[in-house]
Amino acid sequence: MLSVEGLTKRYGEQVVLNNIRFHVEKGTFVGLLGPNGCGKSTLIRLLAGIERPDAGQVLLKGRPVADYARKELARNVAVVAQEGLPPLPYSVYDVVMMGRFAYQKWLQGPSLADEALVEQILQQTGLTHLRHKPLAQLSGGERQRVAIAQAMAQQPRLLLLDEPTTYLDIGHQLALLNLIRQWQRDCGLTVVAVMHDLNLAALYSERLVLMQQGCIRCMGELHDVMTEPLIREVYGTTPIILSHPRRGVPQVLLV
Amino acid sequence: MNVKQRRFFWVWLTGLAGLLLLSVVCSVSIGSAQLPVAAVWRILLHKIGLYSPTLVDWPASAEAIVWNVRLPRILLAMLVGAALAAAGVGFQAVLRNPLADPYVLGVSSGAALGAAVVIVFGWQGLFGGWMIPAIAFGLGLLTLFAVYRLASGGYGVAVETLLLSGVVVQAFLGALLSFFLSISDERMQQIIYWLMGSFALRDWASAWVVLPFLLTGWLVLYVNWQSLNILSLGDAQAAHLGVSVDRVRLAVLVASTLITAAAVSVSGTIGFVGLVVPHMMRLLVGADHRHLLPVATLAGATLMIWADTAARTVFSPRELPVGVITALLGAPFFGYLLRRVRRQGR
Repeated sequence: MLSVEGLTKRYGEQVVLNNIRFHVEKGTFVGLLGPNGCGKSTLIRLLAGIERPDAGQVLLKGRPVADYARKELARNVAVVAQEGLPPLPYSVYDVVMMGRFAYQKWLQGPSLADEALVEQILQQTGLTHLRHKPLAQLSGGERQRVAIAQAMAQQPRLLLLDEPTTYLDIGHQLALLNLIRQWQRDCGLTVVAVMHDLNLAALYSERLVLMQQGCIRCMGELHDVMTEPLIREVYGTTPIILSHPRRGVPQVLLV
Repeated sequence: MNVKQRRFFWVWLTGLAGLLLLSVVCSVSIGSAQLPVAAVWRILLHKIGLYSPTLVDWPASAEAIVWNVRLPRILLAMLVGAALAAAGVGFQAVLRNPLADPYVLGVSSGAALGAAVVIVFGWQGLFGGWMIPAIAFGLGLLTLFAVYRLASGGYGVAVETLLLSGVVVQAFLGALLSFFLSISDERMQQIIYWLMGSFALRDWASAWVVLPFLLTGWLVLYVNWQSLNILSLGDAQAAHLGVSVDRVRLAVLVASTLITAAAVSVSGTIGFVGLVVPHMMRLLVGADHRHLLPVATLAGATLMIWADTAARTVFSPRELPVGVITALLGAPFFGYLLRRVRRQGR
């Protein structure tokens, strides 16, 4: 589904990503971890096709991302960023409908099919009662849900998340990630999510990629990546790793 | 957008169109020679061939005043008002800045400098009397080019860089303008009068000059209505949704600049219409550019007609520059808008 080969990115003299290489299977949820400044957000931008790498390439369904036209790429990849959507005067309905832009011909407005899909998405995300409210009147958690709804309207194959839960309380964090997981299960969506919270990443990811200073330090199964020596080496702090009592996934306890 | 909103928009659109038509007819009848509105209406219909009475019941002088003196001027005011309002919508959308007006990237500074140079050197008569508009237009466009070049490089053109680049270029051009003003002595009054903006002594040709630029530019803006809406989400998110951000930004900037340069070249730098009208109309019909653009265009046209009418009647028989009227009305109104937004909380 998604393949990265020899990816290198420099900002001036500084090498931010160094020969990154990994592969994501269709339908998996991959957590992208690493300390601040390790290049996670840059990697997301390169995966999304927003920036070009200095070396190597990103292959989406076997084709380089650079070969996709803007709208075609938008039909395949959706991105939900950390900052979410700005408090705009547009209504929730209009903002979600913007997700259909990639499917609309030039000069054409939303079709009946588009409208039906947006209604369905609003229901799935529990936003129907807010559809006419302007974004500016919504809370941060609600705006993030609208961001997810907009991404859903793009009907992508790949969802890229850049720390989507940073500004949310734990209730909203779980609600958002559950929504994404349900969407993933319903549509066979592939997800690559940058997460700061190791425990959340472990609860929702099927695979983990741990980065350090522009390189991939380790990737694979949760238990292989979330080990005490690795976390100590990458984050500089020694945690206690436990097994989640119900889910069995590794969880990190701060010391 | 649902059915109710759609109907709401059409109500506003037809209402404003009707108001515009009424404004044209009324303002043609207002002036030093007071003409009855009914007569004006009949003259206009007759002139466009829709009304041919066997006996004309108005004096030939009235027809001359309506057709040769007032109507060209009023139509020009209408086109310039429409142009500035539309360009204002374009600039505010693309620069994501509510304080943007058509002059924010320096078009007016370039055009003003061009006009000043022509006046100082006494070249007005050249080019069939079109020297000022031609040079003003050309320099206005060149200014956008300079601002864009200054701001680009590396990873495309960021909005903040564009705005700063506009500030830099305007400062420089403003300095040059001051220089020309300082060496012009007796012609300074001419230059300043041009800067303040006026529709006096304008004939049909001026309107014909503005029209093609307004139409082309407006169409470019309108077909990009979706992209303009999506751009408000930010450059990155707009790109994620499939908008070719750099391409749309450049197209809208060029179109808006063409419209502005055409307007400024024939009527001087009339302020506030391009800034205030988009905000006013956003309060009425919302921020969806599919609605905002047509409505703002009509409102700008109507407003400018009345501003011009005020300019030529308030101190009759003296004429004030239109720019004075728009600034006197525009600035307090903008202040009112600001207070209103602040009071709504945030």
